[in-house]
Amino acid sequence: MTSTNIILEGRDLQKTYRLGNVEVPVLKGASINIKDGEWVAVLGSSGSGKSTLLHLLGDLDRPDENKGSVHYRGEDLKSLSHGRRNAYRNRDVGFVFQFYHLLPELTVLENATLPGFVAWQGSRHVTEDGMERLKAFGLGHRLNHRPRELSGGERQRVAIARALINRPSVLLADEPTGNLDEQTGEQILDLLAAEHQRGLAIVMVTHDHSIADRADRVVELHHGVLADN
Amino acid sequence: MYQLLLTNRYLTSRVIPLLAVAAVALCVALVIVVVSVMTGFLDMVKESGRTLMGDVVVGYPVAGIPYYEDLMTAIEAKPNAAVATAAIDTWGILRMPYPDGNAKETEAVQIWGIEPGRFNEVTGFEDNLHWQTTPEETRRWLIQDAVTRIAIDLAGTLTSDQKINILEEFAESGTTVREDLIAESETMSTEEWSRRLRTLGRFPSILEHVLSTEQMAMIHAEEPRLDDDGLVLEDGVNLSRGGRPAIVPGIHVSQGNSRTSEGDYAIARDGYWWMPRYEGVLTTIPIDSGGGMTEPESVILPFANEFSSGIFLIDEKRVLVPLATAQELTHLDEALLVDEDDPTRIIGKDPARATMILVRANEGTTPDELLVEVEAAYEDFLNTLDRNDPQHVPIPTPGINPGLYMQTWEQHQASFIGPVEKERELMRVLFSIVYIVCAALVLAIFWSIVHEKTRDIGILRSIGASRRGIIGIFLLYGLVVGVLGALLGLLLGWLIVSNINLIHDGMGDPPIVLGIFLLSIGVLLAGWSLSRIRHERMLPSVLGCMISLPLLLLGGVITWAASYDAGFVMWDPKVYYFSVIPNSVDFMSAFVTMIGAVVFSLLGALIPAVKAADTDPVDALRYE
Repeated sequence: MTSTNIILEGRDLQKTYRLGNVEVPVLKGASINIKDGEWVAVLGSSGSGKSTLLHLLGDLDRPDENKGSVHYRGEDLKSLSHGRRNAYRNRDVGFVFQFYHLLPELTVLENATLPGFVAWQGSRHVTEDGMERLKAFGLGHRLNHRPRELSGGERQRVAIARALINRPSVLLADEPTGNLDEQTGEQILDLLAAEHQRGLAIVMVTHDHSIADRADRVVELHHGVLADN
Repeated sequence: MYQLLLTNRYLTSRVIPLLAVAAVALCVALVIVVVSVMTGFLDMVKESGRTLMGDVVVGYPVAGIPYYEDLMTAIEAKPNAAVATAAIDTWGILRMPYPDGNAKETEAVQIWGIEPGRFNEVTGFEDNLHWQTTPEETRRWLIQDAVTRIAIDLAGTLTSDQKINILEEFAESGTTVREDLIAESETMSTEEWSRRLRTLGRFPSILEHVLSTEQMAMIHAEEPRLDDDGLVLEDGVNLSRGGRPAIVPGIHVSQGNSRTSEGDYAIARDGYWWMPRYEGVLTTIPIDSGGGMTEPESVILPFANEFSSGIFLIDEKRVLVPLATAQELTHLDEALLVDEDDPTRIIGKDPARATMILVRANEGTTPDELLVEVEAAYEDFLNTLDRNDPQHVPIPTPGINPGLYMQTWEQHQASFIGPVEKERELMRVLFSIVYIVCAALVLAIFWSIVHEKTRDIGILRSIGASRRGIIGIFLLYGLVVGVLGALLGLLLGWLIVSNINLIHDGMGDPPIVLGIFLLSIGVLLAGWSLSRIRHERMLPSVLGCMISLPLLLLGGVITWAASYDAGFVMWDPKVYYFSVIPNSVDFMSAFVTMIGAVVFSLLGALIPAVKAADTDPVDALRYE
């Protein structure tokens, strides 16, 4: 149990990918601490391993055997059961991707409330919650549309609504504005800033300095290690 | 919960899963149709066999059982035996009334001599008589027959006015003077008038115009079947016509009957070859007590009716005659025994015999239970007869006479029923292969769906769905596809089975309208497809061409078949010995089939589901 206000911690994370016979080390011992309610931007060039870092923090991927660990509220994710780790991805963190990753067959409302249903929460409660949030995000008229009918900015707002539906403590955002024009990107960042104001911790990876500047703190990923900027 | 939502959406927003449902439905329908028809076939064979047999049969072929009336009494004394009847089973030649002229055709037949009333009680064969009433198209022939028989009597009653009217009918119109006709009529003899009347007999309307009410009444009195529609049925049940013993052949014995595409029977030449108009000559070769042949016996018998049992092998061979007639034909009737050295000295009496005793059980008694009682009754029958009485002839005894048999109807008909039962089981086993086809189809289709949905799976994993949850999606999906397919298959199978005779008759005699309809649709579709071939998207025109091709082919074949009367008869009653294809769904088998389809759909879905669960979410999400 380290410091009480550190909510998410990556310790000496190492990750190697195999490309045929060649081993490509992506992370070479990256460490990061995110405090409760803090907005951290991870700055790095393309292919620097930003996304991999985010996947490790969000338990979508695991570090190399015995090469680093991820701790959430002091608990090593490795020590948790499968069920608890699924619940971690479901409730404790929320993911936002560059390419939105909405399910094309579901409506906007269904997409936004999906994590609630995965968690077996009462359907009415989740649906009301989702509707409220989508309305707050300016998507009240789009509830029953399919993702393909929306603009990029609208899609990303649906993805953020989805990431927040189970009220996580940390939002993991992977280039959330990377696929949007500047003005729309600003709107998305404003939206994240507003959530941050309400106490949400955000880890946002980006290659764009101006975007990273919106965060409380910027760390730079270089040659597989992190350094405070 | 989210699995349900996703299953629902995946199912309703794509075509591929509908293909899976259709594939499962086709498999299920196939099995249901095959097993239902086979089961119905088996039931029909069994039921028909029972109709003609009663429940239990005691038999001693050729030589017959003497004192059979005592045996029947002994059997009927048993509590569960309702009624017993004696019968003779032998073979013979039936000289048919056709064709016109002296060279008649003959049929080899199996002769059953029966006791009319009792046989009906045991077998209910009244319902199997084909002519329940006199067919309408035979009326004119019956009138002609009656006029021919009483022409001489009728000629005697003609008035001079009627005679002139008749001559007018024969004269070419407008060429004769009335005075000439009067002169001619006075010179004609009664024989000549009767000849004229016989000719007029072919034209009932002219006959009615010329003859008086009284004279018409004479004709109707000569042929009571003209006025009493039920008489032909009564004659059939009683095996008599006009007070004479008569013969009732199976419906396919006579070449004059042919099955129509409606499954009914048509009589050749508009009712002309209706058997109950005619007489036949039945010939047998009796076997003497030593097992040798004697002089053939023949008897002329009028046809009373015809029966259809539903078993072609029986309907084309068997004829029913009264027991006494059959006993005379086979020399199994009662006879005096004379001294070999002095034929004038009567030394005893040889009792009449029957080669079969058919027994019907009381309501609620199984044939097997009845058989036990019948066997006991046979013991009683043997015991009541005094073996030391020199007057008595030997009685076939179990253990001594191997030809003596006592069987339930199922045992007796085993040669029919056994193969059909085996065929059904064979079909069931062979067609179970479609389950594997079903599973393979679902597997292939789901594999491609999982491949296509890899990104969705990654997303679901990223928002916390467990592996088990992912497996659940695809298993639920497989379950829904299986259940929907099974239900659709049941519906399709039921539709096919209940209309199978219609479909079959349609194939035998295809409607030209359908052919032309399919042809025109095909031509329109082909034209549309070809006109669009230069448009940007090729798929619609290629699809259109591919669909129009079979339509054109099918339409062409149907039109050709309809215009040349070259229908495709699959269930020829000469091959399949039932005249109507069974058309009721065997719901028990259908249920088992449906369960099988669902289980195998789930099995087919399992592998893709596990593959989906094993998908690495990072890999799945990496590329857009």
